[in-house]
Amino acid sequence: MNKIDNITSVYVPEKFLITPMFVFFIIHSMQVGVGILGFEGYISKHSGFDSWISIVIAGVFIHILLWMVYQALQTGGGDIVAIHRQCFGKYFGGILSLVICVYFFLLALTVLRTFIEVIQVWMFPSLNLKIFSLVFLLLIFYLVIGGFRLVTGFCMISVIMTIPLLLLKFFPIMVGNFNYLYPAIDHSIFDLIRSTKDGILSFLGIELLLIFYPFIKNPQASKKWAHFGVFYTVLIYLATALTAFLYFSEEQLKYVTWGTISLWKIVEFPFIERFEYIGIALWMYVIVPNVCLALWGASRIPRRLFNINQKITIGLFCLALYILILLFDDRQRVEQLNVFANEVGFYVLLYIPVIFLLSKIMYKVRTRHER
Amino acid sequence: MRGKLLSVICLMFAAGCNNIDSVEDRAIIQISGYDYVDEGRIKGTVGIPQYGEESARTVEELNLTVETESLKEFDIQIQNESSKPLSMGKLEVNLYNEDLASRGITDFMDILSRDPRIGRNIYLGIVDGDTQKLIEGDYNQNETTAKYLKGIIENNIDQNLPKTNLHYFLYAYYADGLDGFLPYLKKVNSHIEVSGISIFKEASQVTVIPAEDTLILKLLKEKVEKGSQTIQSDEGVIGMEITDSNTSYQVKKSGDSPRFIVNMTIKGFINEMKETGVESQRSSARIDHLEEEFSAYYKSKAEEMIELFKENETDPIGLGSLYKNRMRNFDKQAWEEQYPEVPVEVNVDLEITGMGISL
Amino acid sequence: MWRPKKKEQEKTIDRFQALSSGQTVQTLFDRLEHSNDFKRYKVGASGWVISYVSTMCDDKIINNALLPVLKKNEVQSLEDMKEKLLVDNIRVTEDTKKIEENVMAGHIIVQEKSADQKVLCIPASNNEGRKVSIPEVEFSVVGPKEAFVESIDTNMSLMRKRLPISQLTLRELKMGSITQTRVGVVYIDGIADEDNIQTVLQRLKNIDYDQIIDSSFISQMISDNSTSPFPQLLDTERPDRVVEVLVEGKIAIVVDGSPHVLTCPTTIVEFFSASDDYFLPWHLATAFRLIRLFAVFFSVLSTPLYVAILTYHHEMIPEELMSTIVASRADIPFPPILEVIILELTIELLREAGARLPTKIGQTIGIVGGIVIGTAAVDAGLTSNVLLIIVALAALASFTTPVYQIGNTIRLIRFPFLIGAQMWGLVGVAMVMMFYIGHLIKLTSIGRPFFAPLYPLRFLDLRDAFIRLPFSKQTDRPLQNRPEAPRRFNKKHVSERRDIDE
Repeated sequence: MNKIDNITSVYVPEKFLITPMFVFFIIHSMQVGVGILGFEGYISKHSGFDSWISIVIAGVFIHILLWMVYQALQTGGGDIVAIHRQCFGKYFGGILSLVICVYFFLLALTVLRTFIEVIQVWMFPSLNLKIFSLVFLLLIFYLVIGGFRLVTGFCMISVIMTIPLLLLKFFPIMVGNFNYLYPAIDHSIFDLIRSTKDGILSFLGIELLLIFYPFIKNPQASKKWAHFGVFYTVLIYLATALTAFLYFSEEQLKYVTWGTISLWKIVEFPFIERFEYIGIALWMYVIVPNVCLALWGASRIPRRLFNINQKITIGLFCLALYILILLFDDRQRVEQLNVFANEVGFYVLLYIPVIFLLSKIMYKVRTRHER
Repeated sequence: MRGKLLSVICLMFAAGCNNIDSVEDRAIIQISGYDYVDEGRIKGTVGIPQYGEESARTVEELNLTVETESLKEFDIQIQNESSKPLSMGKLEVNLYNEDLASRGITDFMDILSRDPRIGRNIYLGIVDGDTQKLIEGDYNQNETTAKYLKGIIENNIDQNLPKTNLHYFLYAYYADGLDGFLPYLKKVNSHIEVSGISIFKEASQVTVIPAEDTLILKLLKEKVEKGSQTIQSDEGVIGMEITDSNTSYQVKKSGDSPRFIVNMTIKGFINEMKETGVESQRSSARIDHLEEEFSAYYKSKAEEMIELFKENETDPIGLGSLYKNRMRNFDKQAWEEQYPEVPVEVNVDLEITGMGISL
Repeated sequence: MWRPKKKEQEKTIDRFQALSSGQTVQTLFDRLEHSNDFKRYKVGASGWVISYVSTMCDDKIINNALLPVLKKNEVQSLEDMKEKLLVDNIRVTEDTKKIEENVMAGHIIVQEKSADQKVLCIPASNNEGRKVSIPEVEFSVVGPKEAFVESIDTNMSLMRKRLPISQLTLRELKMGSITQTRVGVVYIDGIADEDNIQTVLQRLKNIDYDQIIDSSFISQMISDNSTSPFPQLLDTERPDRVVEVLVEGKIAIVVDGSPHVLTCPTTIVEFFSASDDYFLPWHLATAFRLIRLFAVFFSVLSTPLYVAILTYHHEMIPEELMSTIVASRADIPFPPILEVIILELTIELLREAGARLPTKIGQTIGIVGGIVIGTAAVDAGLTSNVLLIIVALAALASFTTPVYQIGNTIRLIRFPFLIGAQMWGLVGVAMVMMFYIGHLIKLTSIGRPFFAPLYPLRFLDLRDAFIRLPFSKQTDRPLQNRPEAPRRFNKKHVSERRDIDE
């Protein structure tokens, strides 16, 4: 088991490596997806306006998990495939890696399908799903084919492009009612924990680090950027949630499916109003890197396991996405898909400490063995 | 690769050939109003501006009216009457007549909050009389009724009317311990006026505040930067223009029942004084006297208004919401029982900063 | 990249190649005598044979330098003549290939006897060409007013004048199997990256084509992705601009017969920076750069947005604008997309017509097209006033690009946006935009990322990208070029602060 074969040691040519700073963009854009458009409603389901506390708690948890991921990867040497191989052997480890691969694919599917749902609801009720998703997937295929470097670049563009959208929060804040945001904690710890569980799901995305870690030029230096990325996400979620709490009344939030988009409705400029249309169009720049990263991660695992040409897997995955998107063709199924993906995501997050412990133990055993 | 691209482009063009109506091919509804006919029947009227040649500055308006049993049916029927597909996206004003409002407008609120095409900055209003007549009336050659009505409401919001639009109403409609209000409109000969504020309990109108008291509600609800009020004092009619105000609420809890303290600070200047023989002099004693008089006026009016709300079991000021937010363990049921009896103390701190430029 | 096709090399030699291979001086001259401007005759008593292409040669050298020596019978042999003739760079050779090259370049060939293989080549080319004039494509109000001309030697001298250093290196190649064009790779040794130079030279060597008429041929042949609408080498006619980038560590490619010099590696932002930017104070230059950038976005996106909003998202139009737009659109029989395409094509027609016609008539075309056709189209109810304004502004905005090549790109790339807008409104526009961003990230220029200061993010290079900071802040050469000497000057000299009254 100590032998270093082609799976346990990951070699990525220097040309394809990314500078540590880009980890910030990747982590952030993987975390922020379609969820933020409507997460105000479901985090406040259990603890009302106090749920901003749950965001902070969830953020702290994610920071800890991120630390664990880094620890595991540093001692495990490379990526999740290598760790699985070392801990569980060739076959069982491979199966576990495939599970992660399926999870990434599921992530891509959920984000993509939910966003198309948003477009259907808000912009084109009679959207031709077949053609639209075909063109959308061709675009995604084109981008993912460009490799990890291109996807990283796109993450950066997406973060930069969405900064102006944050400024639009000014409009609802102006209208908002500060009287009712009195920081009295009116909910039990249990409620807070429950909405923390809901909130933590909007932070899903750090697990991608498990697969792109070998692509970082100086992994040690990237740590702080990854944490910055998570921190920035927490800030953005907090700002978004607080703005929604200002703008909507507590009971009203329960009736609002897409809080953030509704907030854009009131943005008005002399030459343009009803900003939600621009907002949704710009949100594509958040969705696409998200889907691309997930898809890249999903296609990277088969390549690491069986050395399959990544282009082929990406093509196959895109085809599968296309078929699945057409299958999930109504609101209920999309909702179920989301619930299911969140469930799986939660277990993947729970799995991170397991990997952390296993890789630590493996490391101990191995060093003792070598001695 | 090239063949694939080509086929994609062909597909895109094929998809592009479906029937799309661009902006000029749509009937853009700017105003809609609903009247109560009888149990289970409503009459709806919409106003659609007809933009003609650029040279002609006048704007024609097309009005369609339909009487139906339900709202869903209304949509279908009104489409039948129109030569172009109707579009609700640019709806600016939505009116209900008083009969309908007092019977509840829950269905309408549901549609307005559900439809993604409808904006949040549209104005709602309650009409004293027939909305159809109000919408169909001729007011101004250069404006549509919607624009005219919107102007009236906006101008009033700058003055004495508390802020109101669909968003504020929905906020209150859904919130616990907060009720909504809408401007109360009336057609008088060839113009429209805001003749008060209609106060809601959930989705039904319960009472109407007359026009001269709207400023009091505005003072209770928000910061007033431009409002005017005249009072009849022993010296004659005195007009005051408010330049700044602030209202803060305190919740005190003794035992099980809460107590509210409302602190109003108002700044303003005197802009009208119909003399009644008393020598007009700028003395500090006189200003003190005026301040006292105005304070007393606002205090009594505010207390009266709160009493009125309590009687009707409605809470547009949001005392319940405040209570819920500031104190733990809010019990909606208990609060609703307590509300008519809850003590509210109003303190007014008024300062007159000027008397204008003449003696 | 341009790859030579292997098959062609295996083919049998065609007649053209057969003619130039395995010949002697005699056969060469025999063939040349088919041309009427080839002169060959005996001079003087000793029977020297001189041959030259009269259209390429300078009469003065023949009359003043050569003929007096030959006719006076002062020389005995070719070597003797080489010593006595008052002409520079005379050579004695027996290589037919070289003789052919020389005679075609305007040299005079002197032989002792007409059948001799050994000849004397006297350079006498008349170097007819345009005088150095003011730049027309990249005009600037202030700053140098010299532009490159068609002669590679003049162009080199224009550069050398500005860079009087020994490190300025020219590596010359002959390219084009028929045109035999001289192509030079220019760089400053010690600043330019060795890898970049090798890449450029390698790509140039790989070109196998019969004619190289202009530098744009080279530009298309050596660009990294030749299917991209974006030019990956920057071409300029301003010597000052070339010198500027040479100092930054870039490489220039000069082509004989082309007044445009290519520079590489380049980035997308470089196409939007004008040489004026460096002649103006930095804050003004920054403002103008940003305006230009805005103009580019406006030019590309305004008409697609018009289509998207009018077709799908009329909720976005404020009430005040609604009456204007609807009133102007009311009588138009076409949907917005068709209206836009018609008008855009009209503008493109005007541009093409304007570009093909002499300057004076070109102006008339602009007026006729812009005013007459525009008003007539509106009057006839074929297009709306609002759109006419938007299209005209978009066209105007696209002229603000300082580099002509990117202007063409901008003209073209708005059409996919229009299709996107017609398909799915703003979402379609966003999708096309995304495709282009992805494409730009993928692109490379001589192996260096084309989207550079943005991705990979290079904060230092951003000092001279969308904004231009003062010269005192431009302490380093752009990282993009991987310069071997990264420092421009010592930062310490600038950062010394002085107190007041000191």
